[in-house]
Amino acid sequence: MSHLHIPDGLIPLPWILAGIGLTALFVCVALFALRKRDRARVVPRIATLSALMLLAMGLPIPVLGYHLNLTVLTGMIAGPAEGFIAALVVNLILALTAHGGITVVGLNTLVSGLEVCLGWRLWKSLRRAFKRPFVAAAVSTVIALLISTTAMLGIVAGTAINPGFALHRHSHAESAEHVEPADDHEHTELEESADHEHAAGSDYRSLKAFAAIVYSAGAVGWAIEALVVGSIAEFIAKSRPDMLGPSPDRRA
Amino acid sequence: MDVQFIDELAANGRTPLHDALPWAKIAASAALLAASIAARTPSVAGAAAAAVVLFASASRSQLRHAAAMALYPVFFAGLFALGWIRSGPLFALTVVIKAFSAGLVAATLITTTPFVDIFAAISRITPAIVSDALFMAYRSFFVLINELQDLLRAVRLRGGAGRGLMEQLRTYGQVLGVVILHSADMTERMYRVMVVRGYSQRIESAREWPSPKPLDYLLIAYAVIVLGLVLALR
Repeated sequence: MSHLHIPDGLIPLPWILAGIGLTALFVCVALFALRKRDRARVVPRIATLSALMLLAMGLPIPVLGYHLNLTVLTGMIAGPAEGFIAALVVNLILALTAHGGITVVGLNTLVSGLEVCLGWRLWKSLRRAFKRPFVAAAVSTVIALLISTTAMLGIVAGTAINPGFALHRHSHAESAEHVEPADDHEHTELEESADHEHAAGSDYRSLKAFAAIVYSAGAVGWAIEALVVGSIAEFIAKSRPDMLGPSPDRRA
Repeated sequence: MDVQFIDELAANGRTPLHDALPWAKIAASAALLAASIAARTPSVAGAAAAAVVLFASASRSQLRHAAAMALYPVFFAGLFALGWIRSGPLFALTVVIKAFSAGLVAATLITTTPFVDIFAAISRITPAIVSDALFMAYRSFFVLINELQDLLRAVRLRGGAGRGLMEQLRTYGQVLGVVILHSADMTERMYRVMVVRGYSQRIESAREWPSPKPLDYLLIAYAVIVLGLVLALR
């Protein structure tokens, strides 16, 4: 598990719209960065990289139902602009196969796109620091996936899809329907304050439990992805080093 | 996720849902998806899920494949739900049911409608570069998967896959490396073909859809009624 495919029905509408809006914005930025490139060359490269990501996801790995993603490798090969569009293409196809929500394509693309961009940036920096491409690629993968998983947890925390919040809002709505007597006012305030503390504590605990599950399962996934991406990078560096090189043509 | 198998189900199936027009299925699926997401209580989410199962049962024996695909989002929704199981068990249950019904809607659509028809609909709302990449990624996938399967078979026959997980993963890495190198050559060939064919900034879908039948209207009406009921009950 490198990034979590958030299913439908979890995220509130404003966040869904924000995800779609931000993805559209980043796609526009990517299109602007690619505007001077030959589209007949760019489209096949995005397509084959997207197909490779889908292909890697189909490889059977007998650990926790985990699948490879190759988002970081896509960033290393294609750069952030082509890589982000490839992430969108993959998430669209995945959503259609019930692999991540259709309404959450925007947010899922942002998380995958973050992995692509971090993979590109970290690989550029680390390949100078480490002699072996395997180590540079593996370290880039682990860091990128750790950050993207944290970003995903940030979305979960930020969207307040926590039942603590939901139940708290519900109790507020119910209490608003009943008019309290004037002499009970102070008592009600005290109760509300206790409710607030209880709800906040419950939210924190459930988020903490969720984060513990995600990080512990994710760590296994990051190690698997790092090993495979490292092996691929080492193989390509030996056979076709220009594919991973910082050529100006791939910087966009 | 087996895209090859899904494509086979969509292309070769003979059920009422396969006969329906793609745009009618997409519209009905959108309404059912909205109904699944809009549910706020376990009972309403369960009713929406039952309505989705009824819709999906029109695909006859393919329902079990679609239901199996819908278990994937249930797994992830379960991960979210685990964090809430103590503080809000009903909320956690609602989340899992909603994930199943939304997943089943998507799975039913994709197992009864060829990818190309769905991409043609998507291409109306996405930039040309995205829709063209979608079409070509789909085509590339089938070319590359054959190569990957042949390579993996050859490696296994020679006993090179390795016994432990680490060795197996390294082998996967090297095999994928070979496929990536070949995909770079394939990209170059695709570029030349596109130039020769006079690629003009967009691949046009020449697919023509016949006029709608009563079944198409029935699907849409059913989905809209389900959505209306869910919105009224939630």
